Amino acid sequence: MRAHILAILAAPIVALPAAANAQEEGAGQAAYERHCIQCHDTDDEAVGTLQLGRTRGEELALLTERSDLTGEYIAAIVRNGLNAMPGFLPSELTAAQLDALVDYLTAASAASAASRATQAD
Amino acid sequence: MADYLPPGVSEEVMAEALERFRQVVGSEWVFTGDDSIPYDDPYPVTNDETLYRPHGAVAPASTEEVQGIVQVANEFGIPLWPVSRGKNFAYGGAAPVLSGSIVLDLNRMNRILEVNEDFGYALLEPGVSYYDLYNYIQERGLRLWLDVPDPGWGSVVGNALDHGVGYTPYGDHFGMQCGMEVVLGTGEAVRTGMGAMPGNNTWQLFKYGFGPYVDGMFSQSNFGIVTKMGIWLMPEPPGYRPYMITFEREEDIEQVIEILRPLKVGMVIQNAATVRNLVLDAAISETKSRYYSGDGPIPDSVARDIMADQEIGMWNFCGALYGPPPVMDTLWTVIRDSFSAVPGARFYFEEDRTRRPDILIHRAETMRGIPKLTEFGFLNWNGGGGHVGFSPVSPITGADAIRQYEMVSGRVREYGFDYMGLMAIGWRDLHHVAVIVYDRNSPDERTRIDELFKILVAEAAAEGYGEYRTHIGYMDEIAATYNWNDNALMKMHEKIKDALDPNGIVAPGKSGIWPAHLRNTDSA
Ligand SMILES: Cc1cc2nc3c(=O)[nH]c(=O)nc-3n(C[C@H](O)[C@H](O)[C@H](O)COP(=O)(O)OP(=O)(O)OC[C@H]3O[C@@H](n4cnc5c(N)ncnc54)[C@H](O)[C@@H]3O)c2cc1C
Ligand code: HEC
Repeated sequence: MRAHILAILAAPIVALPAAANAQEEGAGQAAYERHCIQCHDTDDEAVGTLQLGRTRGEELALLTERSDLTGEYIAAIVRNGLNAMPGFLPSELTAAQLDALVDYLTAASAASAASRATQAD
Repeated sequence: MADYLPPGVSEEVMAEALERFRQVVGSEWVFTGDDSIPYDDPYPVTNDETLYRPHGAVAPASTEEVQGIVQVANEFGIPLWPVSRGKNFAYGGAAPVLSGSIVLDLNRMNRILEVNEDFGYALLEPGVSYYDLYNYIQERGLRLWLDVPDPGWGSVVGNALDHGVGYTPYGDHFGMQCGMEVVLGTGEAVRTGMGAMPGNNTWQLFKYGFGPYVDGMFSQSNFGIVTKMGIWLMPEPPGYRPYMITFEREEDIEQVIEILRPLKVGMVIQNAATVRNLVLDAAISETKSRYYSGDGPIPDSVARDIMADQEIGMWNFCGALYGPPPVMDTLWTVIRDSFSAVPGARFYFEEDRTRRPDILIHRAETMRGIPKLTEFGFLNWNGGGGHVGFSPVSPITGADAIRQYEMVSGRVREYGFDYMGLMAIGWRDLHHVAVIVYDRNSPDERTRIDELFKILVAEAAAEGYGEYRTHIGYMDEIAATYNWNDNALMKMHEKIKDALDPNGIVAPGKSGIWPAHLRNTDSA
């Protein structure tokens, strides 16, 4: 409730298209922790992290630290799966939850792209 | 994406039915077109893209909505393929046998209706995952343990209905089921066992109720849609000690299983213990290319390298002791002394293992019911991610174990794959689960897998071994091996099918059972 009010108050002032919506940010992280973390965490049994480390290189192993993946690509992998990773059903991870998840995972990517753009100017 | 339609259903009829489904569940819970891609089998075993393709999916939130959907399906002749969580990977995922079916996705029915700590049971809706139930128990500090299959994201109900297995003393999941609510193909809701008596309070305590015991009829079946199920949970034991015993030679499996039988039947070994082979265990944490860059299965010299690197055996028996420490000590003495007869046997507890990740450290969590996804690691062995399970059942004898092992591993290697397998020891039977890992993106490997699988089924049947469960692609083949007395059992299934689901709308083709209008056609 509190987060909701803050978001409404903040919206006209910040006026970001991403809506800097705390609620959505929370939903993205929650979706990541419910559906992805078991395979994409830092521990030594995280199947996705292990395999991405082997095939993409250690620096690209951790999903939450990737800045090279587009939201579109992430969303496509989540629905279609990739090799050992099966896709997720829209009943367990809704379209809205997937949007929030993608925003959560691309936050790093957006930040680094913005800083590159600033440098280019 | 092409839209697949079930036999005899036109595009217009399907469109009308979908509209009616939307009225039942709300338009956001009917999925078609690209939205239904995740319902395809991620690990296909065929190159025929028209097989096992759903038309779409519908996700109800209550038993009443399930009944509403069944009513519409009957009206329009639409086949429904019920799944609970739909994570039946290696057996078809959420995909139906019959293309054009609508997946009846029960994920939204995810209420934990009751967890009873005193009696050790839960009453669940089908969408509840092992993770959900585990978290619920942890949050409330209840002194109950789950029994989990290797993937923790599956459904407690769905896994039990498909006769899934886990690794604690409660490893026979359907054996631990008690009482269910089912929506029949006619749309009528039925409660089984004590649940049939209004006001009764033993629905999850006594399985049999009064009269014929029918719960089994709704497992691996297409007679109805299970909307609630009771499952017994193990009270947290006063002590827990997981262990691993490794064996050095392939042929040791014969002696190991002979030693295991009296220990298991006599309940000295308390849990649903497993003897797993080298490559399966090694593949949990490493890929093949780390050890071998040649084609085909790994040679023996490489197997030896892996054994040394991971400090595991050609076979690895993981078990656990549960109970007060003096009981565990006594049981361990018997187990250790028995297996010491195998030359080269080595005995480990968790504290003896230094490498990370380690197979015993990992299995120790599973054998105490902690849900995980670690076993997806072995799908990366070759990098292509596909996996199909071939799972024949035999008696717990050394002779059967070695015969099975030689038959299956010989064929698997002949087809260019590494043998990866485990022998899961039940109350009286041995499930030999051979997991065949292949490149899901390679048409050639898919062709080989399909050929290999059919040979395995036929050769096993010729020796009297039948599979306990199978992929959607092989249900007819396997059902056909259970054909005593001129297919008497299948004929009985068909009579029940016709009575409980006269229009044949529930899961046509599940376990080789087809509704009357699809029997003896090309698809059957
Ligand atoms: C790496 C790996 C390891 C695995 N290890 C194990 C293991 O240790 N043990 C094991 O048992 N399996 C194992 N599996 C197989 C499978 O993933 C699990 O059994 C999983 O739990 C099944 O998915 P689910 O629970 O979502 O069931 P679902 O997919 O929901 O259901 C399975 C089937 O049961 C029927 N069904 C489901 N719900 C209903 C209902 N409500 N009414 C009527 N019929 C219904 C349907 O035919 C459905 O296809 C493994 C798979 C992989 C890939
Ligand atoms: C069962 C384990 C598992 C789960 C759960 C899982 N993944 Fe994965 N994921 C993998 C594996 C394994 C790979 C590597 C596939 C390959 O390339 O062979 C992967 C790869 C990916 C990739 C591709 C990265 C690249 O470099 O191309 C993305 C994106 C991804 N996962 C996102 C997700 C998201 C988001 C979730 C949660 C919704 C998720 N995954 C859940 C196992 C998993």
